[in-house]
Amino acid sequence: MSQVAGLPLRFRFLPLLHEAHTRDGWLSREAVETIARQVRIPLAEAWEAATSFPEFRFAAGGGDGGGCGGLSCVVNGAPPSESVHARCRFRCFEAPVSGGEDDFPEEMIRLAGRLLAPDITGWDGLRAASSMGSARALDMIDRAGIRGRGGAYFPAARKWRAALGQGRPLALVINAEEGEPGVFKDRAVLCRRPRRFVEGLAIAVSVLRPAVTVIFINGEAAPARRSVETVIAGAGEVFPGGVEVVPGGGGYVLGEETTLLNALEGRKPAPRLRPPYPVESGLFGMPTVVNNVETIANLSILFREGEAPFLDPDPAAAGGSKLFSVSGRVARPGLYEMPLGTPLRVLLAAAGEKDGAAFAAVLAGGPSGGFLPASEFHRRLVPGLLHPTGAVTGSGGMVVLDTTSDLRAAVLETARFNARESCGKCTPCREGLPRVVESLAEGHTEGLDDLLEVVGAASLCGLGQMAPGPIRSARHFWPELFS
Amino acid sequence: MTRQVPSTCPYCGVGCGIVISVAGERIVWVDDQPGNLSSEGMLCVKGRFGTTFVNHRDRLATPLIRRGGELQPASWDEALDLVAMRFAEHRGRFGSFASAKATNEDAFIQQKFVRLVMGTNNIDHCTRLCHSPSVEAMLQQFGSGATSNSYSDYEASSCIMLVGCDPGSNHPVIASRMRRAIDTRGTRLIVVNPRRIDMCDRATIFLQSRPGTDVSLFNGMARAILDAGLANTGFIAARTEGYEAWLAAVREVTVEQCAEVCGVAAEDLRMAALLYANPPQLDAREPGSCLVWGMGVTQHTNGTDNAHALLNLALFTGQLGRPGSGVSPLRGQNNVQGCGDAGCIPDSLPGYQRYDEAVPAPFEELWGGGLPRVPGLKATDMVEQIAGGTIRAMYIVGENPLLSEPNLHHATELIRSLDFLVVQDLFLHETAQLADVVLPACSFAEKDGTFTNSERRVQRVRRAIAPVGESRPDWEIVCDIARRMCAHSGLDTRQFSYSGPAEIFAEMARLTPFLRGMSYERLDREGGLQWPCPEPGHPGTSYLYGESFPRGLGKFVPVRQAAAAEELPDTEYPLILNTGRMLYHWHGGTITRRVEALMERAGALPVAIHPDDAAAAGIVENDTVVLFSRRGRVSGAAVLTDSVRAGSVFIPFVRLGESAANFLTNSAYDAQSRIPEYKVCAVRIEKKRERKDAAGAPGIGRERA
Amino acid sequence: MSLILNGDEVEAGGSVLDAVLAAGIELPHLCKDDNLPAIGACRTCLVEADGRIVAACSFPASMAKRVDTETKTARRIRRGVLELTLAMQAERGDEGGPLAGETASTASREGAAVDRFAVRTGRAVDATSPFFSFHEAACILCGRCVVACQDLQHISAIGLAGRGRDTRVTPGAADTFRESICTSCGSCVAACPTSALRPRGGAE
Repeated sequence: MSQVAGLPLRFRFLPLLHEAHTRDGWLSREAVETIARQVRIPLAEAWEAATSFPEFRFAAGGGDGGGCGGLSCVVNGAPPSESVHARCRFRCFEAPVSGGEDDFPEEMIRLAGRLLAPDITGWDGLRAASSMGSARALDMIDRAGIRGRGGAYFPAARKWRAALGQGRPLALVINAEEGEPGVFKDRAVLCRRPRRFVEGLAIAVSVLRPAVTVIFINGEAAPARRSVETVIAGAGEVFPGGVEVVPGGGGYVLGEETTLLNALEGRKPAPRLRPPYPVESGLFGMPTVVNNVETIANLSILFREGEAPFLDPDPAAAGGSKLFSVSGRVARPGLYEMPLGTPLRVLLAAAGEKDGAAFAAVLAGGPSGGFLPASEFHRRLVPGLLHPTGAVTGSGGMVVLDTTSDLRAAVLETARFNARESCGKCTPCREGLPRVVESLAEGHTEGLDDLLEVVGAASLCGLGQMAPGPIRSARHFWPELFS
Repeated sequence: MTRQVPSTCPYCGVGCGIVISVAGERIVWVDDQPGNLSSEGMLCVKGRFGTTFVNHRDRLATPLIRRGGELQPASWDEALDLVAMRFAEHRGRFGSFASAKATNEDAFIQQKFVRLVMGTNNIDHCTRLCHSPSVEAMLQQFGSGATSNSYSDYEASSCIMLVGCDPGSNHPVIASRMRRAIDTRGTRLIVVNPRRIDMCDRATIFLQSRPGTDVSLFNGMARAILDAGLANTGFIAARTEGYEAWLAAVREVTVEQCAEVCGVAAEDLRMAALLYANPPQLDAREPGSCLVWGMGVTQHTNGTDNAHALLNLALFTGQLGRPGSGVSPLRGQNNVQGCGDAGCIPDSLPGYQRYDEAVPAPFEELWGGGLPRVPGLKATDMVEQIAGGTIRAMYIVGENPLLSEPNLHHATELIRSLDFLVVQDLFLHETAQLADVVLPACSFAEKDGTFTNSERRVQRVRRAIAPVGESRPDWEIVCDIARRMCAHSGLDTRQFSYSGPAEIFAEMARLTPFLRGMSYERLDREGGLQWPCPEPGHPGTSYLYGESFPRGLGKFVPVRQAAAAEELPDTEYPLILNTGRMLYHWHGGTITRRVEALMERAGALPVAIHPDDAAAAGIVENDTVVLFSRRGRVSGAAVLTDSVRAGSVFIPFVRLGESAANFLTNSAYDAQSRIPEYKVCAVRIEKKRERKDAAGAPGIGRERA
Repeated sequence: MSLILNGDEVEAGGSVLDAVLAAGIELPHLCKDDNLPAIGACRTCLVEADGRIVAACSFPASMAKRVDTETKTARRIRRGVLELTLAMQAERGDEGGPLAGETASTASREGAAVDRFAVRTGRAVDATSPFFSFHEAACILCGRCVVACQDLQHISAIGLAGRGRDTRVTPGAADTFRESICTSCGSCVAACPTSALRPRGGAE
């Protein structure tokens, strides 16, 4: 077994688990223990890590039934998630779905801008970045105002400078876990525009000079993984230090970057305390930059075409385009690349009503966002909150409900999703979210607002902190829903 | 009401800080002591859960005197008068074992009594049976017999080499500190052991060498280092002597030859050598290697040679005398370091002060009497010389030689033939049962004092409960005997009148240069202090030999591989028996057999056997098996494991039921240190034949059956 | 470094919790062992720092200017978390669990209601070790035992298996402590704030 230069053996834990799981269809105790010994992880640590990935199964036979319990599928007639094993299968554009992942269909790229334009050839962007040197390249990223497309919209240049400022060998980690129901943009980029992404990655590597570069990719997104691995393999000396592609075992909470780092280190995927922040001490203690696939892909545009595409006269809209994943009750579900700051109604108009039913609500930002009624569709999709009750642009997932949809069921489904995806580390999230679900399911909403406040304010990471959004927003806009 | 008393763990030599919770004069809970610099808030099962022996129903409650062949209760006065009278009669034929489990103060008073009142240097303790070769070798090569570094050095090191020890079982908290270094800093671990110990899970290199081949192993490593040009020439030139003579011995062998002798791969041997000599840079600290060893090195007929071979390697690479490096013989008993420091060895006064002309004077002046100049007998020789009449009376304090001596049938006959035997202990153990007088002593929980742990840290022991029964602290008992004898010896009884342990410690500190800066007041205020601590303002010393060695230059001692062992397998006894210890028992088990939870967890003697050997003998897991040697037999429960080499079996030397390893072991001795060869003898294994009354040996096979 | 704590200026170096406890102010901190690093799981040490609710155990004092432990919001949220914690005890009258001992007195001081939520917890008992037993009905999943086992003793016999509400304290992948790699050091027992891990027997 090869050891990644400079990294402890335990970095191999998750890939080996994934390999064994793919091979056997489940993980026996013996399999976990064997791998743990191989990578020198004490047994209990290995067991608690392995059993915390939702896509891993620990009993033979059965399978997961093939169904999908994601919200987009539920509003398109699939049974609610309680009755199927699977969480979202991330093919919301063809809901209701069943079965594993396929190559992302080209026709689901409904509206292409610069990022989703036909894939690039050559390394012009990389050459441009390399020729200007790290400092000037960083300044350029800064001037373009590129912000993180994972949903937090943190200025990329600031994050990079903070990591570089530590003066130690650093790690670059690309988060391609994409565990949010209703979002499929990273899979689309990796499957369909892999060169765009890989050039962006090469640029990041040339500027950051990381000691290790990792792409953490959803364990079931095999087509996306193969696609990006093929391009990287063909890139030759572009990545002198190599790129490690690590498949995971699922989990929405991996969107929280310290959780992702724990997963990569072969630890239980649960959030770490901050400080220290990843840019100070991340992967195995190295200063670590964690960026989203889409963020990285934008670097290719920047260094090929200059800052112009990113300069928006409206300072509220961070420059550049955004990939919106639109699903649910729309005529043309799929991926829409539009400028940040585009009004929601423009996006919805492009997607079109399905079967003539009027749009009734949008879940903006998924389980960590909030619902918006038609009266709010004029809002512009800018970074940050779209409405104080919870809706956010987030990573661009828009699940649309129309007049045929059961909004109450959708809210309940979202609450269930968060309760199920809680890592279980902190009390308010682990204990509070199931209570929220009970309260909603039984229609006993007395004390619910107080409970939501507790979960939102007391939880350790974003999952619990933002879980109240969909419920709070739904109760705000449709007060009769749970009374 | 529960009260909390901070103290020091009475088990192994790690010296963990404990907090004893007491309710109604019983220990109800033992907690860790986070501020303790040796244990840093850790404990193991024995320290945490293993102190119920203190209140065990078997505790001796009164003195016993043998009358009409039977030990019968007696008053203290009766017993002490008798002991004083009979000891006086046996001056010149007297020997004494001190206890490495008792306090420094107990030990100091006992050696004072033996030297001053009994007029002999025949005093020794169990270090003879564990690390006497290490001490001999270190004295010869460095001029001091102590661990050179601290546990914190293991955590600061880049490479730890564990030789012939199993800290996971025997020094669990040291094992935890090593695991911490390995897990969090990336410290590399080399394990040298014929048995695959738990720590191998974290080892970079594991050398499963043949028993008794350590000289070859370390000479081979030295050769590999030499060939790779990694000798620390600066250190050798500035700090050592005898290099050329040693080098000649090393040049006689090749790495391949040595690997062949040891039964390990030459490449592994070479890698281990280079890793030790040239440990990796892990962080800003200067990389260093720690050499840590146990009885797998010492308990051989070539034990002292083995120790020399190890120490030569440290000198050759300069891996001592700075943080993150050093040499550490792991001490098995809570106060085995202190018992030696306090002078319970036959050739030195307290503080390892040999009988040079100037040394005894301050002692004689302060004590008001003359001291014997002839070195005394070593523990193993005292027992052997009972036969010739050199020793006819013995005073055995806190020791049970009839479990710990090799070849127990032979030893029992010798002890039985003594004219007068006094045993002072907590329980009526095997040796006590043969005594003429048995004196009940207090346990660690019932007295004040100090223990000195494996890293030379002197720490306070505090009285937590009232003495059980009529038991008394060892030092008080010895003082009472001594005072009864002072008059006849022309001594002032005030020499054995102390207000308490603090006063004894003060006397010991005054007479021992490296303890001179310590006092109870400081220990209570600052916590444990590591010697040397020569003056009251001195902070103590975490590692030795930074500038020089006590003997000046470090000395290379050439050694060549001798026969691996005195007794090797043959057709009649085809297996090698290796003995050691286990986590859930301590030494012979006199104490831990009186902790019910430990017995529930480990009530049967585990006999570790390689699956191939088991198959050949028709043995399956949990079978009751019998081991035979030329000297005796024991039975236990078979544990099939490839952690032992094929052709070897391993048993801990704890006595469980009627079985104790030392019925099998050989009384062959290392010439210099007189340590017995516990680690190697030849045995045969058989599956026990079914009998109707399978209860034959109580405790055996009960748990696993 | 100094900060304003409940209106008084205090010197503080470590965490906000260190400063709070040093000032003699009572604040729940169920998952913070005095001797082990912060875990940040129980969320009962929440205070208001410069207008934000933060966990005092893991928030560096150097990052706070003004800390208040007794604002209405902080008290309300702490109480809510404690109420969720109290509902994790299955056996009323058990010698351990959040309804007994220190946790109970903390909860009552904070005004937490013991019956706001219906009880939910497992009821498994592991009495296979002669030294200690584990009572799931008293466990609040704070993780102190895990830190003691993994990060103090570096044994790693105990872990928190599973996730969300299915999280359980387990002896690794083993079914029982007896069958696990546990060395019975008891650091987990010492660390447990609710006696879910408790010593057995005692002196005979």
